[in-house]
Amino acid sequence: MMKCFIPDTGIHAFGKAIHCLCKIGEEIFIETRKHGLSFKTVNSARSAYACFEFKKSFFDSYRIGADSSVLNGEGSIFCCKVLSKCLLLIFRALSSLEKTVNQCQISIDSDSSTIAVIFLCKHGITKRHRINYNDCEMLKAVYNKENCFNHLGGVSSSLSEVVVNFPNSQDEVTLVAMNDKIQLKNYNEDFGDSRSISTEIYLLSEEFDSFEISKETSVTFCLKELRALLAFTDSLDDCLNINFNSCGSPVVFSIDDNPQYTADVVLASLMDNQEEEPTQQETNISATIEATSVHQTLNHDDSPYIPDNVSQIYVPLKDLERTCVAGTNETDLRSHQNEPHQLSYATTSHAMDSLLLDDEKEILTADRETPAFKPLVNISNNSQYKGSSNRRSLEPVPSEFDDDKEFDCSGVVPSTPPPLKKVRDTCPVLRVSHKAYE
Amino acid sequence: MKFRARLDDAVSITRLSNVVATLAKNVKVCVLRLSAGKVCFVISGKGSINMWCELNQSKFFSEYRIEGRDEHNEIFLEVQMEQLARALRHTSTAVSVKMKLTKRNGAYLLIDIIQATVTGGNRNVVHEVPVNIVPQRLWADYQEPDMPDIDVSIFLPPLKQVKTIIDRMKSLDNYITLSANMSGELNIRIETSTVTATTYFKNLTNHKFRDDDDELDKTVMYEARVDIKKLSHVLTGHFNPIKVICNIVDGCGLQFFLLHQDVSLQYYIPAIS
Repeated sequence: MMKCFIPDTGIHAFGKAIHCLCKIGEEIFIETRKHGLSFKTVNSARSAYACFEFKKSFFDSYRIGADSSVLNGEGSIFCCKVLSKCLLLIFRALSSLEKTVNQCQISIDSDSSTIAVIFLCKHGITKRHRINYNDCEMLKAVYNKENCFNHLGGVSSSLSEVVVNFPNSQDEVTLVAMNDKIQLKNYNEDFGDSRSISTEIYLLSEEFDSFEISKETSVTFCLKELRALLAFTDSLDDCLNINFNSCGSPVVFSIDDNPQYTADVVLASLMDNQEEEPTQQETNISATIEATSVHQTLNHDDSPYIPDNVSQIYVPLKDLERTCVAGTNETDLRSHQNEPHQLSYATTSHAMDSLLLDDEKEILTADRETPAFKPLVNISNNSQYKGSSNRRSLEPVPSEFDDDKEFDCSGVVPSTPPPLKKVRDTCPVLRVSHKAYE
Repeated sequence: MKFRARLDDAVSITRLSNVVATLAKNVKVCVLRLSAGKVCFVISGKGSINMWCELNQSKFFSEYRIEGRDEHNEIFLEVQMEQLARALRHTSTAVSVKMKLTKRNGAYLLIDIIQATVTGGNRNVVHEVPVNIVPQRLWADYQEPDMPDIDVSIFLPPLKQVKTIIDRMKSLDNYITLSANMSGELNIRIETSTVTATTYFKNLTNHKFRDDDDELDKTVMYEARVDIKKLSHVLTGHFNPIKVICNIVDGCGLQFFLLHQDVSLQYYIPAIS
């Protein structure tokens, strides 16, 4: 149902993109669109998201089967996911592939749920790899790189030179944007006690192709994913742009200038407790609505502990994965299709329940020590319930793709770590509501 | 207490970076002894390896200012060599390197590197390496080791060769015996209950350390038995020393001098009977 041919000149870029994605996430989400093929991933903590989109011009030929049952109508998207390890195995020995492969054919067969990667090599040798895929919902991160205050263009070469100055063990770096320069420094949680080496690097505005800092700020993000992207840009000499707002909102690294592909890597930035709370606006819409619906569903129980806003619950980084997984449990959603009111409640409470009941202590202790990343991505399968009353007010999530109305993915974002008390307060609520549901 | 130094040319920056990187392979914590004329890296352990690495300050630094507490005019800093090496690692494009002792809830050695960028500009990279200031009462532990009363002194064959032999022997026994005489013979030996393996080197050059050499019997072998791991450790990671001198104090220990262009390294490994 999808078949494309990558020319020998494109194998390097394609393989490097796969390497980059594999360094970030454990699963790769593949989406076939009318105008190109996207590969996306999100890391297990949901603090980093990467998307490589290969346009039609990248391929020798790119065809999606319009007759397929999955693809009905224009602009429809077919989504599937594969383990990144499997894909990496195919493209691991990239340098030898580049030398021997004349053309690479990738085809997706929805009847057998397989992806076939066929290398047509020199001397008439053909290598065929076949991997199974799983169906999935569309993966989409909530970010908007156009509306960022701060923009840095053309940074890849200087950035990779700079990043080597940090030790490999360095997890996070802080980027301080000033009016005329950028400072990069390593971020150490318990700075002062640990007596570790601290490194600061100054990049003057001349080093960038474009330098627009309209708001002085500092953002802290993970280095590992950035290193993965820099490995890609270094080998392809692509121009990297950075867009960011302030701490707590995502930093977007993007390759926009290449005519054949685009890439976005979005990294969650660390909340800085010292700085003023960023405004909680649109990002929380869906969480607020879900909380309201809990309220509605349970009104007759006279439960006194209903929270006004679920988004107030603070989720430590390491627990995010579990929350999101719980929240998007498909069987849960589908088994209650005819009870739309209870559905969103079930989703919410299930997520919070797993978080609060099982790991209450862990979170409460973790709360004091671990700074939180804002989660970037939340997958939800809301599409079937669009008409239901409790979702009427849900604004469409700002989206740069016009063609994914099929699935509605929204970011549920706890933005600031609230005081410890707040978490305790919400605990009984969810316990009560969960029982009521049963 | 003040210390400030600057390196201005690429050659000496690379050399300093290499020296520190080499030492970091062998050594975890080391005392950096700064004095008016010399920069020394010192390890002193009673009963274990002693190291003394000396750099002539004027051959490296274009600016060098030190103000000690009193007339000694010395500063002793304990540094993690790995951290120092990391700070100096990416200096291939460096135009200048400044070092300065700073204080900010503890002492730090601030290393300010100015790198040349691709675009022709300059970029500042600042590392702050945490250091501990060694109090004066402990300075006596880090003095230059006295020259032991050696029995034989000989130039080693190429270090790579020796290292390979020692590493092979490492799998057989934990101890190794080096024996040499003043007529250019060196034997490297291991002895276990089942096997004795010896490598013989001949026609090596002796280092004349005494004037009254002629009166002594040149064929008498002097030997010292040391921990093979320590010996292997000491000889690791050195790139092309001009000369390596091995001094043997019969039954007491081995002393190695590794002479590079501007750096001299001295190790002492006590013998195990």
